[in-house]
Amino acid sequence: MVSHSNKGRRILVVEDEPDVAGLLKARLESSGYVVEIEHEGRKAVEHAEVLRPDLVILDLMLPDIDGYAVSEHLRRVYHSCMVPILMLTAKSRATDKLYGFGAGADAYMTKPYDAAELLGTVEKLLRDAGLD
Amino acid sequence: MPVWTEAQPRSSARSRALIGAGSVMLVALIGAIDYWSGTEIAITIFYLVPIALGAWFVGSRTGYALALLGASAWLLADLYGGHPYSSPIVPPWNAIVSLAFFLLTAWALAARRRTEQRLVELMDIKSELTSMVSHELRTPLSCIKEGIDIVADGSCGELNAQQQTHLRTAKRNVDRLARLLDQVLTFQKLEARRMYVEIENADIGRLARQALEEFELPARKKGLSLALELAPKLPQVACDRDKIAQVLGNLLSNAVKFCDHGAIRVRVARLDGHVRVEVADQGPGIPAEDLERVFHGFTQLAQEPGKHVEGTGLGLAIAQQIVELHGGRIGVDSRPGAGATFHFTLPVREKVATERFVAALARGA
Repeated sequence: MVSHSNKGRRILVVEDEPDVAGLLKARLESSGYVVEIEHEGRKAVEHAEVLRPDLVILDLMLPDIDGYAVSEHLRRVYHSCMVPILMLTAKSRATDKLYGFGAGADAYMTKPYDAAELLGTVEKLLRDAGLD
Repeated sequence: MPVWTEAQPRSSARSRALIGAGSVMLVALIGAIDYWSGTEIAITIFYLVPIALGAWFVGSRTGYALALLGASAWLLADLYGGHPYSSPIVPPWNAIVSLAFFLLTAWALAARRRTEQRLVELMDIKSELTSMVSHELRTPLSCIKEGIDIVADGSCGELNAQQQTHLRTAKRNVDRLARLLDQVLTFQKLEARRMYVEIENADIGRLARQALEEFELPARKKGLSLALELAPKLPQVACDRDKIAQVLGNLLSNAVKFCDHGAIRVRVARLDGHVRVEVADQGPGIPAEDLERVFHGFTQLAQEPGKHVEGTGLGLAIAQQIVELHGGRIGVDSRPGAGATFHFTLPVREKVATERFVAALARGA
């Protein structure tokens, strides 16, 4: 088994609400992750292709293209087709969730989120990706 | 030619042929009481609205249909009935009035349809608005909560005891605000009859046990004991599990909130065609004059001075709406000083396939 630490793992947070993004960043950084933030869908796609984060936390309601579209874009591009995607959204209906998985999400969580659950999910997704 | 009807002695004459709006009756009784006069006079009688046409004012589709039927009968009677006292001089009132009723009915139906459409639109706007507001309120609230949490768990440096105390107070109140918001939104949904329910066969005994388990900790903290009494062989109840769990939760939370000593008892029993669930506490009880009010929204009864119990006063209103949505009834028995027993019934139905519906449709609102 490969033992790994969170230290230095890079996470891209795509979230249009600056406050929510800032708090997510603070929470993740306190666990040792390196966090970058994008507020718009298109920029997030470019960012992910160029900088290749280890994981993407994706809001669904974004000002330009929605999170589903971002996820589909990421899955089509070689460099980002394997990146773990965690959708984090206020949309709580089962159909939204299924649609999210259809668009390529690895995990789906609703806001308001539980911090421990979020960190646990992030860790699990990274572990799964690392074991590949 | 008029057809004469034999009059009664004592000055009264009756006719059964008065159907139309403009019937003319020829009366030949004038003057002396017991003698028929030789001269005739004509009295024109107009009916304003026959009974069937009165149905129009009910304003329902059935009312309109009855009114149309009445108007038609009236018109036919006028045209072909040839009732004995009609005179050619009288204008065709029946035809005119009937026609007017036809037009009015068509107009009223169109207006009704427009109103219904508008109502549906308004309901949609309202539910959009609710979900928008709930989202707009929740986001800042969860930001506040998360901000407090990050500081409180020491991620940004150690805290001294005083700082921890203040943050705990802040956190407790944010959580409370979140709970209140949830309740208000639930109530609003129920009021708008937009509650989505999912009816399945459920084991009511198990629901009660699960609900009780959730309150074990807060009850123990107050030194209360919890007891569950299940009648043997309880039938399955067709209900929405989550909603009924919420009803049980609201009743139990009240019981724990208001009860300071003794036991809280939950009893489930069968009661002709229904299952009856009781939540009995040994709290201060409710005065008779307040018993009616407890189920109204935003009601909290007068509290003992120096003792404040938090809440929106929506818990019981929500419980009532949910129980009635299931076709059951909710009530309370209580005397001051002797505790309170809240009880509700749920109808036992034959095994049902899973039903999902929006409450608005189910209640024909």
